[in-house]
Amino acid sequence: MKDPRLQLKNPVVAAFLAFAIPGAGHWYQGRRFKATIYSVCILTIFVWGMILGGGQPVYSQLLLRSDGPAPTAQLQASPLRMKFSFGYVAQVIVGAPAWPALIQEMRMRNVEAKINWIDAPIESDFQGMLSRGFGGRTSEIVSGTINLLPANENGSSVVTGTLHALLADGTNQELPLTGEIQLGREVFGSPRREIRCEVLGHDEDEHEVRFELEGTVGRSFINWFQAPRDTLELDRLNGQLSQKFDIGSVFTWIAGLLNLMAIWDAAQGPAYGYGDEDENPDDEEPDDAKKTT
Amino acid sequence: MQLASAIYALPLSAGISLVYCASRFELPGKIVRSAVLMFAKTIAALVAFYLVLLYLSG
Repeated sequence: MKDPRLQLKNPVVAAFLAFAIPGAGHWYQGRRFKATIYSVCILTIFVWGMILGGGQPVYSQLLLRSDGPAPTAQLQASPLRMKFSFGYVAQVIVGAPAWPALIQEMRMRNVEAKINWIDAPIESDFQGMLSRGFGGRTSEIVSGTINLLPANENGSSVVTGTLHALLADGTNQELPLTGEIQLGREVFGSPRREIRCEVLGHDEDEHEVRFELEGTVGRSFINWFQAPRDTLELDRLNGQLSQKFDIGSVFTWIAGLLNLMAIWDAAQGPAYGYGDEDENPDDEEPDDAKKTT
Repeated sequence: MQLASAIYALPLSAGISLVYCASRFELPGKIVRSAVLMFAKTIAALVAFYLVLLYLSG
């Protein structure tokens, strides 16, 4: 219902602006009060959902691991199968705040996965497991900081460096790294990047042995934010955040769906009218009718 | 824990009410009055629904 008092300017431009940034279309039309309501409410719900979900509820593609030796999609070198995330249909309507997912999807498709290669030093915190012994194999939890270096300057499949490890018994050890590296994909929807290599150590008889080291190092924000992820990462998120991840996801869906109403309002005006119309015009009888009865 | 999660419904309902009513009307006063009414009705319905579930699970 259009009211002559409404100045929608160019409705197509307003609708696009409303889609790009909640409230921007109404600001362009000079409807500042509604612009403020839309931007504050919609963006607050969206950001709140992102915070509840650990910054990870928005992603456009779910990765499916192909059959093969790779334990996770992060460590799979061959092209990954992707499945569209239907929740993203609602999230993308919130506009620019959800667009990085599309960029990350393109990056995921175009950046070559170098799983068995390290081309630059990596210094990060480390969380993982150290497998000790060969026959009666045991593992222990290790954390600390790790300095990974390629075996030569131009990159290598062999890693050197050091793990400053805090072992489960509370002792600190400096463990030299060696062996062929497996490094998770550069672009992936997880703040943690998987890594596997070997650690040089000594057994009880002071013989040099190699222990398997597997765990995760940090991944830069720009490489994980809104990037596609696999079900293992979703399991990790659900385990870590419990229902907060689901609530956060629902909040981001709701924010997108609310912006749909804002886009419609920017293009067509308010659904019920200006707001000062008589709510029940049929209830009042005309004066002539009152006189005759 | 269940009740703590329900607290999320308050600001969420307020936000939804404001956006919904803003998309229905143009006048600020009418938007705010409608949103307050819608928010109150939503919370009342949620509380009633919660009480029914509480009764059934008791």
